[in-house]
Amino acid sequence: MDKNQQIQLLLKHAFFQGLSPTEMKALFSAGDIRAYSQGQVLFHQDEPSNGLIFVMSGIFHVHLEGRELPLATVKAGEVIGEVGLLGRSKRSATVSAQTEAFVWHLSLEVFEGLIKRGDTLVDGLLKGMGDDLCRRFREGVYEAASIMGELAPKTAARLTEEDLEEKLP
Amino acid sequence: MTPTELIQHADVLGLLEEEDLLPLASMLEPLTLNRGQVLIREGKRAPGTFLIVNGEVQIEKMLPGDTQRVLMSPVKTGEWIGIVSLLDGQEATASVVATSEGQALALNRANFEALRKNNNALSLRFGRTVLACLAQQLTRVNQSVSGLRSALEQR
Repeated sequence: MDKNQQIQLLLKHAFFQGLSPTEMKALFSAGDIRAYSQGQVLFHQDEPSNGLIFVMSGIFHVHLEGRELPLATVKAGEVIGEVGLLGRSKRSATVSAQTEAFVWHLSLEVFEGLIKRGDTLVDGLLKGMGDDLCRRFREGVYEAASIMGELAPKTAARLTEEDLEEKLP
Repeated sequence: MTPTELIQHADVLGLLEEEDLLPLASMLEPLTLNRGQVLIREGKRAPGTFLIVNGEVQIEKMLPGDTQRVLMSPVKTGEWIGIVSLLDGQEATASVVATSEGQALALNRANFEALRKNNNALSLRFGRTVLACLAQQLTRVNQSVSGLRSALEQR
């Protein structure tokens, strides 16, 4: 896959929808391509976040430290690490390559440098990330409410107004 | 808590710079919370985003085709809420109601938009802060959905 194809792949992701092709090219150049072999760990749970990762090719498993069963599988065209990038927080899980893989990595240092400069690239990136997070948040809340509706009245979280009144001081 | 002390709480995740607080203070409104006060009403556009500094706030959601309300999750103090409706301009997914006296900081929609349009380091740092809060909230929603799916399968 050449550089233009890599940029085109990034442009398909929701996070980068707020960027023009020219801006995407500039952001792409601010990151770097990294190769992983099968079994290699991308990062460990509880490590400080060092950036955002976009999977160019290959498959990664997300799992809690010490547990075999993966929480999720991440494949080409998907992103890992947005929570850590935004919040400068620790990694919530370990991610390891299940096949040979290539990723594009935007380091936390570069991201924060762009913010400090007031660079419009970050404005476009934050817009795309915001749109995608909002969409996923709404979907999650609606699904939670729908399942609660199905489970009710057995769901412990379901509280009537009278229940809430009892909890008040 | 004085307005100066209150404004320090705007940097909930430590992602802002000291120089950001003064210009932010001119845009944020200190708010006294009263028990029963509705900050955000489900089905209406959120009037702004709120940072709960102290006091208790809960999130209530209507079930589909139902009149009963559900406690989605407790709101942690030190977290911006109402971000989704503010960002996408759609109606709020749930209501946010104060259940005790407390203090909050409010950034109304007009000031939020003005801040975004500035497109400077402050607006980017504040934008990053609210998105970081939203990403954490999304993680909790996803955990909740995962637990509920399991409960549904086991039924």
